[in-house]
Amino acid sequence: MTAEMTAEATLLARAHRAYERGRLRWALGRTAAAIAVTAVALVGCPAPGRSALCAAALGIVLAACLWRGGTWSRGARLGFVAGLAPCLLPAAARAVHACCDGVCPSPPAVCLTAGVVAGLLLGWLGLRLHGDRRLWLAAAATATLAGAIGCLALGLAGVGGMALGILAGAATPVLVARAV
Amino acid sequence: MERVEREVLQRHLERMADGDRDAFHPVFVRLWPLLRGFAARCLPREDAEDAAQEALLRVFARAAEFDRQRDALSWVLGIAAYEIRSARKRRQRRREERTDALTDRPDLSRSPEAAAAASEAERALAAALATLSADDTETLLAYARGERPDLPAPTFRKRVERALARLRGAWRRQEAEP
Repeated sequence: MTAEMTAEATLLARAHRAYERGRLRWALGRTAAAIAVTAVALVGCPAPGRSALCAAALGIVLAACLWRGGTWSRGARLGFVAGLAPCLLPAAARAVHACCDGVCPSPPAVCLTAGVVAGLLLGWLGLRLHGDRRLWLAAAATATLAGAIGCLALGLAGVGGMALGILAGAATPVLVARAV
Repeated sequence: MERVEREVLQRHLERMADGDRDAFHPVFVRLWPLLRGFAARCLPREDAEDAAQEALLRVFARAAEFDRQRDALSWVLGIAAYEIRSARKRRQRRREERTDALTDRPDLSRSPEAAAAASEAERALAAALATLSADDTETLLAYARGERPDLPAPTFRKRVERALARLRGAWRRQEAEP
Protein backbone atom coordinates (compact mmCIF):
# COMPACT_ATOMS: atom_id res chain seq x y z
CA MET A 1 0.00 0.00 0.00
CA THR A 2 1.53 3.35 -1.01
CA ALA A 3 1.76 6.36 1.29
CA GLU A 4 -0.86 8.16 -0.78
CA MET A 5 -3.32 5.26 -0.42
CA THR A 6 -2.75 5.21 3.35
CA ALA A 7 -3.33 8.95 3.54
CA GLU A 8 -6.52 8.57 1.54
CA ALA A 9 -7.75 5.75 3.78
CA THR A 10 -7.09 7.93 6.84
CA LEU A 11 -8.94 10.80 5.22
CA LEU A 12 -11.85 8.50 4.39
CA ALA A 13 -12.07 7.42 8.04
CA ARG A 14 -11.90 11.05 9.20
CA ALA A 15 -14.61 12.02 6.71
CA HIS A 16 -16.77 9.19 8.02
CA ARG A 17 -16.38 10.39 11.60
CA ALA A 18 -17.09 13.98 10.53
CA TYR A 19 -20.27 12.83 8.79
CA GLU A 20 -21.53 10.88 11.82
CA ARG A 21 -20.67 13.73 14.21
CA GLY A 22 -22.40 16.22 11.90
CA ARG A 23 -25.52 14.04 11.72
CA LEU A 24 -25.58 13.66 15.51
CA ARG A 25 -25.22 17.43 16.01
CA TRP A 26 -28.00 18.05 13.49
CA ALA A 27 -30.26 15.43 15.14
CA LEU A 28 -29.64 16.85 18.61
CA GLY A 29 -30.46 20.38 17.42
CA ARG A 30 -33.78 19.28 15.97
CA THR A 31 -34.55 17.16 19.02
CA ALA A 32 -33.92 20.12 21.31
CA ALA A 33 -36.37 22.23 19.28
CA ALA A 34 -38.97 19.43 19.41
CA ILE A 35 -38.60 19.00 23.18
CA ALA A 36 -38.95 22.78 23.62
CA VAL A 37 -42.34 22.56 21.84
CA THR A 38 -43.53 19.68 24.02
CA ALA A 39 -42.41 21.58 27.15
CA VAL A 40 -45.52 23.74 26.67
CA ALA A 41 -47.53 20.70 27.81
CA LEU A 42 -45.83 20.89 31.21
CA VAL A 43 -47.16 24.41 31.88
CA GLY A 44 -49.66 24.16 34.73
CA CYS A 45 -49.16 20.41 34.90
CA PRO A 46 -50.02 19.13 38.42
CA ALA A 47 -47.37 16.34 38.37
CA PRO A 48 -44.63 17.23 35.88
CA GLY A 49 -42.14 14.59 37.07
CA ARG A 50 -43.45 11.63 35.05
CA SER A 51 -44.16 13.82 32.02
CA ALA A 52 -40.59 15.11 32.15
CA LEU A 53 -39.38 11.50 32.13
CA CYS A 54 -41.48 10.88 29.02
CA ALA A 55 -40.00 14.01 27.43
CA ALA A 56 -36.50 12.66 28.13
CA ALA A 57 -37.42 9.29 26.59
CA LEU A 58 -38.94 11.07 23.58
CA GLY A 59 -35.71 13.06 23.22
CA ILE A 60 -33.62 9.88 23.13
CA VAL A 61 -35.89 8.10 20.63
CA LEU A 62 -36.22 11.16 18.41
CA ALA A 63 -32.46 11.88 18.40
CA ALA A 64 -31.64 8.23 17.63
CA CYS A 65 -34.16 8.04 14.76
CA LEU A 66 -33.11 11.38 13.25
CA TRP A 67 -29.43 10.42 13.49
CA ARG A 68 -30.09 7.04 11.85
CA GLY A 69 -31.98 8.76 9.03
CA GLY A 70 -34.04 7.28 6.21
CA THR A 71 -37.28 5.53 7.11
CA TRP A 72 -36.58 5.83 10.85
CA SER A 73 -36.24 9.58 10.56
CA ARG A 74 -39.40 9.98 8.46
CA GLY A 75 -41.34 7.81 10.90
CA ALA A 76 -40.13 9.75 13.93
CA ARG A 77 -41.05 13.08 12.33
CA LEU A 78 -44.48 11.81 11.40
CA GLY A 79 -45.05 10.40 14.89
CA PHE A 80 -43.94 13.61 16.53
CA VAL A 81 -46.31 15.75 14.45
CA ALA A 82 -49.19 13.37 15.16
CA GLY A 83 -48.29 13.13 18.85
CA LEU A 84 -48.49 16.90 19.30
CA ALA A 85 -52.28 16.67 19.50
CA PRO A 86 -52.45 14.50 22.66
CA CYS A 87 -49.37 16.28 23.97
CA LEU A 88 -50.79 19.80 23.84
CA LEU A 89 -54.57 19.32 23.91
CA PRO A 90 -54.84 18.41 27.64
CA ALA A 91 -52.75 21.47 28.54
CA ALA A 92 -54.95 23.64 26.30
CA ALA A 93 -58.12 22.19 27.89
CA ARG A 94 -56.67 22.93 31.35
CA ALA A 95 -55.76 26.47 30.33
CA VAL A 96 -59.15 27.43 28.84
CA HIS A 97 -61.32 25.30 31.18
CA ALA A 98 -63.22 23.94 28.19
CA CYS A 99 -66.66 23.24 29.65
CA CYS A 100 -70.07 23.15 28.00
CA ASP A 101 -73.25 23.98 29.98
CA GLY A 102 -71.35 23.42 33.21
CA VAL A 103 -70.23 19.97 32.11
CA CYS A 104 -66.46 19.63 31.78
CA PRO A 105 -64.96 16.83 29.70
CA SER A 106 -63.25 14.15 31.76
CA PRO A 107 -59.47 14.00 31.35
CA PRO A 108 -59.53 10.53 29.72
CA ALA A 109 -62.10 11.81 27.21
CA VAL A 110 -59.79 14.70 26.26
CA CYS A 111 -56.93 12.26 25.77
CA LEU A 112 -59.12 9.82 23.85
CA THR A 113 -60.20 12.58 21.44
CA ALA A 114 -56.62 13.83 21.05
CA GLY A 115 -55.48 10.24 20.51
CA VAL A 116 -58.04 9.74 17.75
CA VAL A 117 -56.81 12.93 16.03
CA ALA A 118 -53.21 11.70 16.35
CA GLY A 119 -54.12 8.25 15.08
CA LEU A 120 -55.98 9.63 12.06
CA LEU A 121 -53.00 11.83 11.21
CA LEU A 122 -50.64 8.90 11.69
CA GLY A 123 -52.67 6.56 9.50
CA TRP A 124 -53.40 9.08 6.77
CA LEU A 125 -49.86 10.51 6.48
CA GLY A 126 -48.21 7.12 7.05
CA LEU A 127 -50.04 5.61 4.09
CA ARG A 128 -48.92 8.49 1.87
CA LEU A 129 -45.27 7.87 2.83
CA HIS A 130 -45.48 4.20 1.76
CA GLY A 131 -43.21 3.18 4.63
CA ASP A 132 -42.34 -0.25 5.96
CA ARG A 133 -42.46 -1.58 9.52
CA ARG A 134 -39.61 0.69 10.62
CA LEU A 135 -41.64 3.77 9.72
CA TRP A 136 -44.67 2.57 11.68
CA LEU A 137 -42.53 1.53 14.65
CA ALA A 138 -40.73 4.89 14.86
CA ALA A 139 -43.98 6.79 14.30
CA ALA A 140 -45.88 4.82 16.94
CA ALA A 141 -43.07 5.18 19.51
CA THR A 142 -42.68 8.94 19.07
CA ALA A 143 -46.43 9.60 18.88
CA THR A 144 -47.05 7.59 22.07
CA LEU A 145 -44.19 9.25 23.97
CA ALA A 146 -45.13 12.76 22.79
CA GLY A 147 -48.77 12.13 23.68
CA ALA A 148 -47.83 10.66 27.05
CA ILE A 149 -46.13 13.95 28.00
CA GLY A 150 -49.55 15.61 27.93
CA CYS A 151 -51.75 12.73 29.04
CA LEU A 152 -49.62 11.17 31.80
CA ALA A 153 -50.35 14.20 33.96
CA LEU A 154 -54.01 13.06 33.92
CA GLY A 155 -53.10 9.63 35.24
CA LEU A 156 -52.97 6.19 33.68
CA ALA A 157 -56.56 6.58 32.47
CA GLY A 158 -55.36 9.50 30.35
CA VAL A 159 -52.57 7.46 28.78
CA GLY A 160 -54.91 4.51 28.24
CA GLY A 161 -57.47 6.74 26.55
CA MET A 162 -54.83 8.24 24.35
CA ALA A 163 -53.41 4.83 23.34
CA LEU A 164 -56.89 3.58 22.52
CA GLY A 165 -57.57 6.73 20.49
CA ILE A 166 -54.31 6.41 18.53
CA LEU A 167 -55.03 2.77 17.72
CA ALA A 168 -58.60 3.46 16.62
CA GLY A 169 -57.61 6.58 14.66
CA ALA A 170 -54.68 4.95 12.88
CA ALA A 171 -56.62 1.80 12.05
CA THR A 172 -59.39 3.72 10.29
CA PRO A 173 -57.46 5.07 7.27
CA VAL A 174 -55.49 1.81 6.99
CA LEU A 175 -58.66 -0.29 6.91
CA VAL A 176 -60.33 2.12 4.47
CA ALA A 177 -57.30 1.97 2.18
CA ARG A 178 -57.34 -1.83 2.22
CA ALA A 179 -61.06 -1.97 1.52
CA VAL A 180 -60.83 0.38 -1.48
CA MET B 1 -17.74 18.46 -14.03
CA GLU B 2 -20.12 17.13 -16.66
CA ARG B 3 -23.88 17.45 -16.33
CA VAL B 4 -24.40 13.73 -15.74
CA GLU B 5 -21.71 13.64 -13.05
CA ARG B 6 -23.28 16.69 -11.47
CA GLU B 7 -26.68 15.02 -11.32
CA VAL B 8 -25.15 11.89 -9.82
CA LEU B 9 -23.48 14.00 -7.13
CA GLN B 10 -26.79 15.73 -6.47
CA ARG B 11 -28.57 12.40 -6.00
CA HIS B 12 -25.87 10.99 -3.75
CA LEU B 13 -25.74 14.09 -1.56
CA GLU B 14 -29.51 14.00 -1.21
CA ARG B 15 -29.26 10.37 -0.08
CA MET B 16 -26.54 11.28 2.41
CA ALA B 17 -28.65 14.11 3.79
CA ASP B 18 -31.40 11.54 4.28
CA GLY B 19 -29.00 9.33 6.25
CA ASP B 20 -28.19 6.74 3.59
CA ARG B 21 -24.65 5.60 4.49
CA ASP B 22 -24.30 3.70 1.20
CA ALA B 23 -23.96 7.03 -0.59
CA PHE B 24 -20.92 7.97 1.49
CA HIS B 25 -18.22 6.29 -0.59
CA PRO B 26 -19.48 7.45 -4.02
CA VAL B 27 -19.59 11.03 -2.72
CA PHE B 28 -16.08 10.74 -1.28
CA VAL B 29 -14.69 9.33 -4.53
CA ARG B 30 -16.23 12.19 -6.54
CA LEU B 31 -15.48 15.05 -4.18
CA TRP B 32 -11.89 14.41 -3.13
CA PRO B 33 -10.28 14.87 -6.58
CA LEU B 34 -12.62 17.76 -7.33
CA LEU B 35 -11.78 19.65 -4.13
CA ARG B 36 -8.09 18.87 -4.49
CA GLY B 37 -8.05 20.35 -7.98
CA PHE B 38 -10.11 23.36 -6.93
CA ALA B 39 -7.80 24.14 -4.00
CA ALA B 40 -4.68 23.60 -6.12
CA ARG B 41 -5.87 26.27 -8.56
CA CYS B 42 -6.35 28.82 -5.78
CA LEU B 43 -3.52 28.11 -3.34
CA PRO B 44 0.17 27.13 -3.35
CA ARG B 45 0.74 23.37 -3.21
CA GLU B 46 1.75 23.23 0.49
CA ASP B 47 -1.53 24.85 1.57
CA ALA B 48 -3.82 23.39 -1.12
CA GLU B 49 -3.83 19.85 0.27
CA ASP B 50 -4.73 21.01 3.80
CA ALA B 51 -7.45 23.34 2.56
CA ALA B 52 -8.93 20.59 0.36
CA GLN B 53 -8.99 18.19 3.33
CA GLU B 54 -10.62 20.78 5.57
CA ALA B 55 -13.22 21.50 2.89
CA LEU B 56 -13.95 17.79 2.40
CA LEU B 57 -14.41 17.20 6.15
CA ARG B 58 -16.63 20.28 6.37
CA VAL B 59 -18.80 19.05 3.51
CA PHE B 60 -19.30 15.67 5.21
CA ALA B 61 -19.91 17.28 8.62
CA ARG B 62 -22.65 19.43 7.09
CA ALA B 63 -24.10 16.80 4.75
CA ALA B 64 -27.12 16.31 7.04
CA GLU B 65 -28.04 19.97 6.52
CA PHE B 66 -27.91 19.78 2.73
CA ASP B 67 -31.09 21.21 1.24
CA ARG B 68 -32.24 19.16 -1.77
CA GLN B 69 -33.56 22.34 -3.43
CA ARG B 70 -30.00 23.57 -3.79
CA ASP B 71 -27.45 22.58 -6.41
CA ALA B 72 -25.02 20.11 -4.80
CA LEU B 73 -21.93 21.23 -6.72
CA SER B 74 -22.48 24.93 -5.92
CA TRP B 75 -23.04 24.05 -2.27
CA VAL B 76 -19.81 22.01 -2.11
CA LEU B 77 -17.76 24.66 -3.93
CA GLY B 78 -19.18 27.35 -1.64
CA ILE B 79 -17.85 25.48 1.39
CA ALA B 80 -14.51 24.90 -0.37
CA ALA B 81 -14.23 28.59 -1.28
CA TYR B 82 -14.74 29.53 2.36
CA GLU B 83 -11.99 27.11 3.45
CA ILE B 84 -9.66 28.46 0.76
CA ARG B 85 -10.27 32.03 1.95
CA SER B 86 -9.48 30.94 5.51
CA ALA B 87 -6.27 29.23 4.33
CA ARG B 88 -5.25 32.39 2.47
CA LYS B 89 -5.81 34.50 5.58
CA ARG B 90 -3.77 32.07 7.67
CA ARG B 91 -0.98 32.22 5.10
CA GLN B 92 -1.05 36.02 5.06
CA ARG B 93 -0.90 36.12 8.86
CA ARG B 94 2.07 33.71 8.90
CA ARG B 95 3.87 35.90 6.39
CA GLU B 96 3.23 39.03 8.49
CA GLU B 97 4.51 37.32 11.63
CA ARG B 98 7.65 36.19 9.79
CA THR B 99 8.27 39.74 8.54
CA ASP B 100 7.78 41.13 12.06
CA ALA B 101 10.27 38.60 13.44
CA LEU B 102 12.84 39.60 10.81
CA THR B 103 12.52 43.33 11.47
CA ASP B 104 12.83 42.78 15.24
CA ARG B 105 16.22 41.04 14.83
CA PRO B 106 19.14 43.36 15.83
CA ASP B 107 21.71 44.13 13.15
CA LEU B 108 25.09 43.09 14.58
CA SER B 109 27.19 44.07 11.58
CA ARG B 110 26.84 47.85 11.72
CA SER B 111 29.65 50.15 10.69
CA PRO B 112 30.62 53.09 13.03
CA GLU B 113 28.91 55.51 10.61
CA ALA B 114 25.75 53.40 10.57
CA ALA B 115 25.90 53.10 14.38
CA ALA B 116 26.17 56.91 14.68
CA ALA B 117 23.27 57.40 12.27
CA ALA B 118 21.24 54.84 14.22
CA SER B 119 22.01 56.56 17.49
CA GLU B 120 20.91 59.88 15.97
CA ALA B 121 17.75 58.23 14.72
CA GLU B 122 17.12 56.75 18.16
CA ARG B 123 17.42 60.20 19.74
CA ALA B 124 14.99 61.62 17.17
CA LEU B 125 12.65 58.73 17.80
CA ALA B 126 12.76 59.29 21.55
CA ALA B 127 11.96 62.97 21.01
CA ALA B 128 9.07 62.10 18.69
CA LEU B 129 7.80 59.53 21.17
CA ALA B 130 7.83 62.16 23.90
CA THR B 131 5.30 64.22 21.95
CA LEU B 132 2.83 61.32 21.80
CA SER B 133 0.09 60.68 24.35
CA ALA B 134 0.73 58.16 27.14
CA ASP B 135 -1.72 55.71 25.55
CA ASP B 136 0.05 55.85 22.17
CA THR B 137 3.47 55.40 23.78
CA GLU B 138 2.25 52.46 25.81
CA THR B 139 0.71 50.85 22.70
CA LEU B 140 3.93 51.24 20.70
CA LEU B 141 6.10 49.94 23.53
CA ALA B 142 3.86 46.87 23.92
CA TYR B 143 4.03 46.33 20.16
CA ALA B 144 7.85 46.65 20.15
CA ARG B 145 8.13 44.14 23.00
CA GLY B 146 5.90 41.74 21.09
CA GLU B 147 3.25 41.90 23.79
CA ARG B 148 -0.45 42.39 23.34
CA PRO B 149 -2.56 44.01 26.07
CA ASP B 150 -5.87 42.44 27.03
CA LEU B 151 -7.51 43.55 23.77
CA PRO B 152 -8.86 41.80 20.68
CA ALA B 153 -6.12 41.47 18.03
CA PRO B 154 -7.83 43.70 15.40
CA THR B 155 -8.42 46.48 17.97
CA PHE B 156 -4.79 46.36 19.04
CA ARG B 157 -3.63 46.35 15.42
CA LYS B 158 -5.72 49.47 14.71
CA ARG B 159 -4.34 51.23 17.78
CA VAL B 160 -0.80 50.40 16.67
CA GLU B 161 -1.51 51.74 13.18
CA ARG B 162 -2.94 54.97 14.57
CA ALA B 163 -0.06 55.41 17.03
CA LEU B 164 2.49 54.79 14.25
CA ALA B 165 0.76 57.35 12.02
CA ARG B 166 0.97 59.94 14.82
CA LEU B 167 4.63 59.03 15.44
CA ARG B 168 5.44 59.50 11.76
CA GLY B 169 3.70 62.89 11.86
CA ALA B 170 5.67 63.94 14.94
CA TRP B 171 8.93 62.76 13.32
CA ARG B 172 8.24 64.74 10.15
CA ARG B 173 7.42 67.86 12.13
CA GLN B 174 10.73 67.55 14.03
CA GLU B 175 12.69 67.12 10.79
CA ALA B 176 10.97 70.16 9.33
CA GLU B 177 11.98 72.28 12.32
CA PRO B 178 15.28 74.18 11.84
